[in-house]
Amino acid sequence: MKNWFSKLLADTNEEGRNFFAIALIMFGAGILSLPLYVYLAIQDGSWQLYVILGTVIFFLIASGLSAVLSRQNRTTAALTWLLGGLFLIVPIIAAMVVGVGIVLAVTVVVVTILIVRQTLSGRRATKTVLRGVVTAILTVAIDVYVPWERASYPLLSTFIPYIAGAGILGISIYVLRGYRQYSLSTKLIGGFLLMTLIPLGVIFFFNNRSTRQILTDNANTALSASAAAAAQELDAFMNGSLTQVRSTAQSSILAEYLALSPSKRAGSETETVLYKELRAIASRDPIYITSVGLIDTQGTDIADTYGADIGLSKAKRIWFTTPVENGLPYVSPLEFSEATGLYSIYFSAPIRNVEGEIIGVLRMRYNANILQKIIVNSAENENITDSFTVLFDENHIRLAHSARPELITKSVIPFTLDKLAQLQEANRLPKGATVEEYSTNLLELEQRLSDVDNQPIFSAEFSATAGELDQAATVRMKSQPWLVAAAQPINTFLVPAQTQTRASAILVTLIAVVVAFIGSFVAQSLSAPIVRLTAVAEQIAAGDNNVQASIETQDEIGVLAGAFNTMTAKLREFIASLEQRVADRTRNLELAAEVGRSVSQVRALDVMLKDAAELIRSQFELYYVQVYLTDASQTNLLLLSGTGHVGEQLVGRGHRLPLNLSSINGRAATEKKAVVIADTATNATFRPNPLLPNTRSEMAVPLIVGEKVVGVLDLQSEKANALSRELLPAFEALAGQLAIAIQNANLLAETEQARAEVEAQARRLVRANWADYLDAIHKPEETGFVFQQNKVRPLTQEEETQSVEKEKGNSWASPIEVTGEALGNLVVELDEQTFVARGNELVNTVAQQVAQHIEALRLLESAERYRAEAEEASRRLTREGWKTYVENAEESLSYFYDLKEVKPHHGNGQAESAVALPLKVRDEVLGKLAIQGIDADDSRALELVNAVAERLSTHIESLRQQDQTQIALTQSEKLFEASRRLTQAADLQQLVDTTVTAMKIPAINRAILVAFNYDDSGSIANLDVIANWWNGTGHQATSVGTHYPLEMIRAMPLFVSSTPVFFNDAFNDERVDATTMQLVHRLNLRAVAVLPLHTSAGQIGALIVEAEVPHNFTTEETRLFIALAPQIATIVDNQRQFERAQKQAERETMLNVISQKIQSATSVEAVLQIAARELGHALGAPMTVAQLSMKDKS
Amino acid sequence: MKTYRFLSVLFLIIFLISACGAPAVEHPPLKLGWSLWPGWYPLVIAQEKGFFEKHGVEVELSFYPLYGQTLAELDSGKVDAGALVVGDALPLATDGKTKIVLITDNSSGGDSILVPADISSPAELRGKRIGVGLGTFGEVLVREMLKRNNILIGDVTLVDVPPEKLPDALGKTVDAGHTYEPFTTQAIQGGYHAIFSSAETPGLIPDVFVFRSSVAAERPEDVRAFIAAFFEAQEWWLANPDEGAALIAQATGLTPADISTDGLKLFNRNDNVNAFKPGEDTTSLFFTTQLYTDFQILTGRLNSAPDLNQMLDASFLPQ
Repeated sequence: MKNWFSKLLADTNEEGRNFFAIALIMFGAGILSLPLYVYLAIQDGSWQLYVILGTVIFFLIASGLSAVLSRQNRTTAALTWLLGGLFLIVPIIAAMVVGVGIVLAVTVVVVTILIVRQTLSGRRATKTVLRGVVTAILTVAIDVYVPWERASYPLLSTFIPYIAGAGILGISIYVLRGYRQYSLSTKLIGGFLLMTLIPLGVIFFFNNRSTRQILTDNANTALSASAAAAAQELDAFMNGSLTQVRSTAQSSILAEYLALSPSKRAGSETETVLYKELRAIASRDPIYITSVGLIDTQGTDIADTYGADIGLSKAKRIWFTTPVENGLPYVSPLEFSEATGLYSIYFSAPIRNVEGEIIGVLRMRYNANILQKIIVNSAENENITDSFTVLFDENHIRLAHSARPELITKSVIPFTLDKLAQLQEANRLPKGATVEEYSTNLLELEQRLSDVDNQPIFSAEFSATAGELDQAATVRMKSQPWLVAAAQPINTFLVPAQTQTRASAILVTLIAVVVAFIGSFVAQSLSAPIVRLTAVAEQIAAGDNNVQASIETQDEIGVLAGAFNTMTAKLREFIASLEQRVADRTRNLELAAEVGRSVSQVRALDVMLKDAAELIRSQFELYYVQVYLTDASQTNLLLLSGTGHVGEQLVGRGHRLPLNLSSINGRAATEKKAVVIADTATNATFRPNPLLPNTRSEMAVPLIVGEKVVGVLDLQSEKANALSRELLPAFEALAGQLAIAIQNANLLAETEQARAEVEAQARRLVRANWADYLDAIHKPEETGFVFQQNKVRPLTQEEETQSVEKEKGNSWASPIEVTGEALGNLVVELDEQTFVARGNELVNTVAQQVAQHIEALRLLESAERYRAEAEEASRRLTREGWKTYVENAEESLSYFYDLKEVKPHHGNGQAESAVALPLKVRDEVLGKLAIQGIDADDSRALELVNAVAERLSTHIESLRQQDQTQIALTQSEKLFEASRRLTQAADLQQLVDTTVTAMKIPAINRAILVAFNYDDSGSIANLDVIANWWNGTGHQATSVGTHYPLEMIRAMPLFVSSTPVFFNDAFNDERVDATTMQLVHRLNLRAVAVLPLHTSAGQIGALIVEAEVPHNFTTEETRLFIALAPQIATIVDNQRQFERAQKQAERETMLNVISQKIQSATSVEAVLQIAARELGHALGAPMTVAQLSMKDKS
Repeated sequence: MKTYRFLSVLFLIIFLISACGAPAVEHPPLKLGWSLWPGWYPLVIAQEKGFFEKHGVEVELSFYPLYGQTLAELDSGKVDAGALVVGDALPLATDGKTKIVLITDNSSGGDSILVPADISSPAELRGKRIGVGLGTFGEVLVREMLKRNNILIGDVTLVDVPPEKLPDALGKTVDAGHTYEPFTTQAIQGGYHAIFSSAETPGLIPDVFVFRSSVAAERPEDVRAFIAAFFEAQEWWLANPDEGAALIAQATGLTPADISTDGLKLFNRNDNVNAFKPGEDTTSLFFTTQLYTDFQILTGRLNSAPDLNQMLDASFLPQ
């Protein structure tokens, strides 16, 4: 089942399913009720029921169609059919059946609400419910006003109040359950309506009830009178007729005629007189008296105004036997005559002779229609609208009926067959009469008629076909056991009450409409300010806190609006202050970053600190800023810079603080934690500086590198609470940067100092040594080689001159320098075709290599020379017994040379007679060189030893300096490593990816990172795409390596900027020129952010972030861009540097090959030859010259 | 927008229902009581041939075996109209309760005075018992006959015998009497013969339709339609005597042979128009009615004289 159902609704959406279910329910209800209506229609046969049957079938079709439409998701059409069917059948049923209007109205409203609740919402729901309500009103109106005859089901009427009550209760509960959801105005209108309509309804109800009561009482009175009058007339007729017969029977002519022998009667004078008499009686009512006859004692009709009866025997007739038996006049019941087919009433009286013997009977026969005539006359006289009078006999057979004569002779309920036979026997009914023909079936009337002695006034249906309840009053006749009932349809005399009901209904409706109007107006005026206030509150909730609630009234709502405005003002104030605080903080961080950037330029420490202090003071609007540095001993804080005059003064006098807890700065340095004194006035430990009297708040932030405190940044403000813990993060960041800068500056200073010393020393040495080496004794003053046409040959004098001249032409020339001293030249002549990238550098590098190697070789050769000289001296010492000197050399760090090997020297060398020379570096004695066995007068030996000692000192110093340089370099490497780690995203692709990801702007679908290439003049020559990013949608990002010449980039100015540039929608941006717009359209660039990348060297490129849909860059996003820019710039720069270094490495490789070859050389000449050849090979130069010359420098 | 359309449709429906608000009063059928008389046979034809329906009136015919029953039924209000002889309508006409609206026919030889074979002239009726419906047109005819033959009313004995009972009563309780067809034929078969007939007294015995004044006032169109249908039936019968006879026979249980218009003159519209004019002899209904009025006053049957101008109403005749 479930499976079948879901399969059926496979393509149906949620709404459609709802509709389908409801349509199916309605269809089911229709199917269930159909047999009932078919049964009723066939049973009753009235056209009204066939109409209802038709509408039910239509409803079935409509709901079926609705189900089909729902399945196809055509819910609007489905709803139209479903509710259309419902809205159609309900009024039609009301028009066809009496008294169901209210129930149907309630039902239609309930059903509509239920359907709508399940399927609709918003305006559509309201509209549909409204339609349901209108249909309900229409239904009630039809029920009240419909003019034609309608079917009636009394059983239904009995249940209607209960059904209606249940329905109304249901609606009430439903309405109350939804009470919370209703808007204020709905509640108010509802309240107004309830307050108005409930009292009105109660008043109308009781008024109507009393009206009905009065009308009923009046009707009862009138009917009772009418019935009494009719009864009285009938009695009068009966009695009068009886009296007539009785008195006429006394007439002597009757007795006289009877006394005559039958033979003498005909044609006798007596007979004439008799007939005159009889006719006189008959003429009393020529229409109804059908016969006046004289019957003799044998029962024979001997004289009769109705000739046909003369001679017939009436002996068995009761009207004859009864007077004969009891001597009293007699009135018969209605008797049927088979002969004439007529009903008659017989009045008879005995005729007596003078002796009083009964000798005959006088009989008067009345047409039974006389009763009808009397009743009709009576009813007409009473003149009660629609009233009628009925005469019932003792068997409740109708003898007369003023309104429906066709019911005459019919009994109220069917007779039993025995009773029928009995009545037929008594001539009360025709012999051929059947029960069906002579009866109606009005059980209630029968019961009421049986009980009239207790309840003479009652209501019952007097005729089955009229189908309406009648109010009746009954009176018993005196002369006969008959009942006279005067009746009037209840609806007739209740017409004024119904008119009143209608008038009330109209009035209530009108009042409801008026109240609804007034109510909606009042509700509007009451709720509108609240609604507006709500709207204002919602606006504020949405973030717009500039809105103001308008105060329209002076009542509670006005007060509320005022309070509301106050509240929003406070809120605004609060938010503003919050924003200010955030802005302040951001600004502080930005300032800190700016200060950090500016101090990161490594400069002279004191200048840098001075600048930093001033910058911090001015940027943060402080009173005074100073920087202390720890001294080498870590015991004191030395003031290195301070702002303004006070700073100069303090620095000038070498202000220092002990590194302990006694001072704020000391404490900060000791505890490695910032010390903040928000308000100096309230701080007990604060000791004011007499030079800085205005300090109201102070902050000391330790400058820490790693774990080491290098100093303290001290800030002072004239304003209390200006320096608070809130500002601490900004200053701590600043302090960190400052600390690193100080560290860097220190290291730099040390390194530079060391290098300068080494260089100076090396130069001095090189110059001296080379001058010594190329002394024109051992070596010629000049030497050079030329590599030309794959041959190396010595450089001639002429060529030397030429090569020097050619340096200015199309060639690379590089001096061969050793520690800054130019010793010669390396020249590579170039033709047009032999361009090698960075060939110049290569030449330079080879020149350096040559320089280094020839230096090494020179040293080697010098060493050889010294060794030779030393050997010579040694030999001389040996010869002169300096072995003893060696043995007597100094105990401490001494070595002696015993011709074979150098050994640690033990023993006291000073005791020996030896030449001892101090080993000095810059006039400092480091040790001594002692040579034993040298005569102090041996000037030649002394000279040598002196020379050796000097060399030794210098060498030792040189080695020491080299160690120091190595340390500085290692530290720099560490720094570099740290920064490399910082820029973890070594890959530019990854960098762009990370950056874009960090943006978190979903619209962005691609990004490119372009690098600028500058020409010699410092302007941008072209740009390269060095990284890109693409999220996989839209256009692909420009591929890496794309090269854009400057002329292609018309929009170049957009990329060159000190600040990021944002296009929210490039399509509609004035800054984009027509040509660029074409590109923009081609690439579908909508939102674009151009992020210039700046380093200290200038702009190195830009990061361009693009989106294919317009995007409004928020302040946060632009801020993020600005914050990221320097980082990206640094990383990009690093990356490019790295790439450059890689290229460098390639060159190094080439260089290595040359170097190895150079190093394999054993002579200076060979070096120069190799340099010339290899360079020439490597660079493909037509001619390379490697030349050494000391000619001008000796 | 849709809501307004919906509302306008609803208001249209309400308006239409309100327009139906003036209820078309549905009339019960016109009930007419009648008894056997050739002049009234067109009633059967009109009913059977649907002429009433054609003219837009529903008619319920109540047939009474006894002519007098029509009087009682009409007077007691059980029927709306009755087929009567003009004189009998007079007691009903007191207080203007009834109106004569149509003359159906005029007895022209249809009513006869039957006498035994041994009587050959009216003069011989002296001392005889004459059966007649006393107070009816029969008595008027008898009186007219006696008057013409100079016989005083005291010279004979008028015995009240309804015409339909006369064939039985002849020779028993009466010597002669008045009757009409088909009883005339029965009497003739019993050896009697007619010595006087209505042919000798044109206009003396008009047969009429009497309506209750209230019905005529409330339903004039129905009355007009009824009369128009009746005239149509008359014409049809005259045009189709055999077919008409068959129809009538079927409805009344008579034999077609007994059905004819012999002895009477059917009154068409023109005859009616003429008869409804005042005049100085019996051809005028006014005169005849006055005659009957005088007769009934004479015989002590009326408490008051009816207003003939109100009683005789030609306004329902077709134009």
